Amino acid sequence: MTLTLTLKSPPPFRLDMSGVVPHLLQGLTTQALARLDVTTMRVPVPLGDWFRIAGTPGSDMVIYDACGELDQVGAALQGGNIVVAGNVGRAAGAGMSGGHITIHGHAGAYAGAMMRGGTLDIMGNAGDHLAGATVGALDGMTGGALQVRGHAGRRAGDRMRGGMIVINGHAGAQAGSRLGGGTLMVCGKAGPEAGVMMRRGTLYLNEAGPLPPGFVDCGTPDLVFHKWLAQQLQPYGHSAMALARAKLRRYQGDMADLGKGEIFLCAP
Amino acid sequence: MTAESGNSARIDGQAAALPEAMGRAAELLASSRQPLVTGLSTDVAGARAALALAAVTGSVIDHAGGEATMCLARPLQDGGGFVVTPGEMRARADSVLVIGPSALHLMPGMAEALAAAPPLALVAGPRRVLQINAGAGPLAGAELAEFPGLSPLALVSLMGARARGHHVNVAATTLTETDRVVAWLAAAHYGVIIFNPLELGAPGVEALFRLATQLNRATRFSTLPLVLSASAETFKTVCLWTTGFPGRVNFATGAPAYDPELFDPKRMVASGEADLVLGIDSFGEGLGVPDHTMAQILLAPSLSGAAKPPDVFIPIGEPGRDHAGVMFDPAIGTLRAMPALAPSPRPSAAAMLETLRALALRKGGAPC
Amino acid sequence: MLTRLQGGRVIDPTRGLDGRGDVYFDDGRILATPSRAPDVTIDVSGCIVMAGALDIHSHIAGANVSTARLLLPEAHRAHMTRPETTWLGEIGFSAAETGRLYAEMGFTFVVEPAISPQQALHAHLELADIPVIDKGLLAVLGNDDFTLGLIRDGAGRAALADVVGATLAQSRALGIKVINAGAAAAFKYNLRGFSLDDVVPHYGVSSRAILEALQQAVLDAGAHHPLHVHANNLGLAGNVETAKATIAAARGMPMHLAHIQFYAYGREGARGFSSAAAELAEVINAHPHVSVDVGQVMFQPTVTISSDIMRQFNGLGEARPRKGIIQEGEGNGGGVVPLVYARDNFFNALQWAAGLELFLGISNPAQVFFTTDHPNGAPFTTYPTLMALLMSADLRDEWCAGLPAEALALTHLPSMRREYSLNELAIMTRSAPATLFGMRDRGHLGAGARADVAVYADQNDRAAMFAKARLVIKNGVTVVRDGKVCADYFGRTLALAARADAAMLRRLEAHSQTVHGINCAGFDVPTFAMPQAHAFEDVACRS
Ligand SMILES: [Zn+2]
Repeated sequence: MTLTLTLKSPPPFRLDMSGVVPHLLQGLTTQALARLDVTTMRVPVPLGDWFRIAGTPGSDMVIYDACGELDQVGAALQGGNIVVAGNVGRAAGAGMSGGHITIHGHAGAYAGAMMRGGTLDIMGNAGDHLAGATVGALDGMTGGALQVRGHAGRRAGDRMRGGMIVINGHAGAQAGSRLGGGTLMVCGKAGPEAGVMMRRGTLYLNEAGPLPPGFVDCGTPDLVFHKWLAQQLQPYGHSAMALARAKLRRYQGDMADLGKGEIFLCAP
Repeated sequence: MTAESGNSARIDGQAAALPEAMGRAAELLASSRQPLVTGLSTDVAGARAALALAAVTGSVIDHAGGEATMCLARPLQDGGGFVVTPGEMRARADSVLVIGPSALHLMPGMAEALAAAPPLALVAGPRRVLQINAGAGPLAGAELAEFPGLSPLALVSLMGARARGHHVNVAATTLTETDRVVAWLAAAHYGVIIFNPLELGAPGVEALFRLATQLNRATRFSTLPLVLSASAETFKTVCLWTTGFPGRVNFATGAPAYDPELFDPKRMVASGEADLVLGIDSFGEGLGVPDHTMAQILLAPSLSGAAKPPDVFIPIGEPGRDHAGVMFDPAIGTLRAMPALAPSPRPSAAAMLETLRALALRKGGAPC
Repeated sequence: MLTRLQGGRVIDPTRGLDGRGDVYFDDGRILATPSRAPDVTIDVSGCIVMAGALDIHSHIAGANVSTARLLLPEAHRAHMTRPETTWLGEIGFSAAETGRLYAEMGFTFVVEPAISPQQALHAHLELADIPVIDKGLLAVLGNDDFTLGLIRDGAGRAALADVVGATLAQSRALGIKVINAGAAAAFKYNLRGFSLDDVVPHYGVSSRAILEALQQAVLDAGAHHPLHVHANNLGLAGNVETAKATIAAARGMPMHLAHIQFYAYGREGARGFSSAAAELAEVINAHPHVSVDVGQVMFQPTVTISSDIMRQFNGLGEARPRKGIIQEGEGNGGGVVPLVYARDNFFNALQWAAGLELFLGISNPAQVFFTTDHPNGAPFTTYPTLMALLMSADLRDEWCAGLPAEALALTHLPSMRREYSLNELAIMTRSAPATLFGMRDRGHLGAGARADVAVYADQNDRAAMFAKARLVIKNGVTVVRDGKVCADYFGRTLALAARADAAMLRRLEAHSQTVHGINCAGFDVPTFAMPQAHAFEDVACRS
């Protein structure tokens, strides 16, 4: 069973879609769905005012003509599939623990923030703090898999502790900041200060701006693991596989903190 | 108050009676989709009343200079830290590290205080002062250290790494200079690091707190963040006990919600998500009116300086001059009461905001 | 308007009453049975009627509480995925929510116990924004340079009494608290541990000397409440010896020891951590001049807010989540460290049991006060559950069944069958705290008392009963109906009308200028600064 939401026109304000995830919708009639409040303002905004609603709530959901004003699409998703045609706003897939979200467009800041499981696939670009931690939270992404086919903004993977992120394009400054575990891969160029305040975990960077001073060159080890990794990366496309197969220089850091993180950077 | 004084209430730039102006302001608030209460260059009473008004009108609220507040709040929220009051710093700190050029010039009397020996230091003697990247603002009598070309975050990280005894990857001269500073830090009995949160940025401040944590393993250290705006700190203080958050709060859906990025007044204005701005500028700091064409309500001592007249202007008095008030005082690190130096009948921001709140309640402006 | 609360079970230990009766009040005061007919009669049959409850130790306002708010935005989750309950979300952690939640449980007076004199104005402004209840605060001395200097210089009893008097007057406080006497100062000289006979560097003054000097000075200054003591070595294994030594240091004079659960630990067992609560309770029973509050731990996440800055610094490693703020100031400063008390944690289960052992082992309910040291042991919203635990051995057994047996084996709790009566609870939460603060018109329902009344629907589920009062009257005004605040009412902050010696004020000003470079008049709490014209109510000193 698939529920289809089609945005009638871009709203002049933000909508909070965190209440519109499959596990919260089971058994709701179309009328009840239309009454769901998605407001971020002082007046209620019923879902039906902005979306044409078709189908029945089940494990799958499709959002057509989405735009950057739709916040928290698929947040806290537990299972099932959400496919979005168009862009989404902040915190898409934030805190999701299972299921699959595919966004055929761009995502705003905090996409996949603190996700615990499942997969999030962003066909376009992602904003700042991809998979990051919201204010005060000590852990970003702790599990699952996240792919950005385009570019990502600043601090991608901030405070990540587990799981896998592949960015096929470029990443902004401070990718992998405060990383405590997991793997972040940037197949394009990472901006300056990648891995800053990193404690543990691994970054793979095809190209990078200046690393923080707390990263120490550890040579070019030949790791069998990377050959195995390259095979596992097949679903993430050629650029990810190529990065794992490339000659990689290993840096350890950030020495300003625990210093047990590693950056593998393509040797020139 | 006469219309000719230039300080009368105004509607669309034209002098108007106060009740009409207040009524018009209440109408604007009632018909707004998303009001924003900002400026907030005001005292404790003004901040309280603004928060109460924001609560009944479902507004987003933050001080116009909230960015500096967030540069300090965010690192504390993300990892904690160490801070000390200015008075205790003067009394105890045998070693003071000043980061950046602006630090001491922003704090009246601080340079003189640092020049004096700390009376309660473990070992009697003059205070050691070291300034990093002093640029155009070196402090008389201070040792200096320069780290050209390093970002504030890289600089603080570098000190952190060396304080932990870790290897780093920098030029030999930079390493020598870093080690000199770190040895200087390690020799402190009670050290304080003075910094400007806005200059360091939130990540730099976070790295600085980690450095302080590291230094505290062997000796004693704390930090003294500069307060860039007394009214911003006043608002933060009141906002914390009123909502539990330091600012950037939205009351739109009832309970206060906090988001340091989403509820940034500048972003709310630039994105058009706020369709009404209520600016409060009790001290005439020019913090009331963002440069935008939307509807405006301004509470300020006078209209001078406003590029475009607001839709509604409400004249108010200045705390500590026209009426008594309470403000955060950076010199003592807490709130201080101020009697009225030149009492006048000009109303306080608080009085006008409370009236607006009463009018808004009557118009049913409360959130659903 | 003469009002009668008719037909309830009136429990009023001050007058030895526990039985069906009527309570009359008019113009904010309780009346003896009047000669004329009441204007209003409220039927409270089937209900329990008590005076409004008093809480003598709850961190509800001031700079340190605000720092705790600042530290934990994520515990609200108000800005995250919708309805998710969190502990901060439930208690709100704002001034308005504090007053509302206390009032709904039938509390009408709460003391914030740890305010730096330098931050009194901030604290009072916050207290003034807490609705419904009356408030008061304790000012903190004993780690500030001026007091330590006086003790070092042998300035004498009169000078210390003057410092206490000046501090009480300037801070508009109800009493004085000393927090790990000397340790915050010693920590600034890089000491990491501090016991009763340890000496503060630079001053050469021991913790014991500070304690004794302040205990005497508080009595001499005419405060009703004796020195409120947060002892050394909080939370450490074997610290029952510290508690016992501190009680002995009271030398037979009145002293209040705060949150003693955190000092009830021995060194028995495989982990070298056991409950010594039974032993401590016996010592307290033998020292009737000493009063205590418990600081009960309940299982949930919380945040510790303490001016015991050395302890908070040492506790940073146990922070959950892993973050904390250490703020140093002219005296104690404050440290904020979040914690999770978990049912399956050996240490936490033992702490929980030790607290209950103290409640049950201290025979006189007028000597032990009801606190969780909010929010250090648990938020005050857990009080109703705690009351139910005290009233039912069976309920305690149910809880014990879910706890690590290893922890319980190091306590006496499972064998303690005492059950508090409603009358004993009323002593602990009403009559005794009023006496401890010298308030003759609170904590009882006799003629002339303030009309602060809590009415609970009598039900077997005591937790539910105490969580939501059926009716609460504050100063004669109905402020809570059916467990919900129904009036826009603000109580007052009680302040001791202490004498500030003019010569001592001049000395304090000179000291503040020379040592801290600060004009200490900046720390004044003038009435004009308060949002309400009648924010304060003066309390006369002990004569
Ligand atoms: Zn306490």
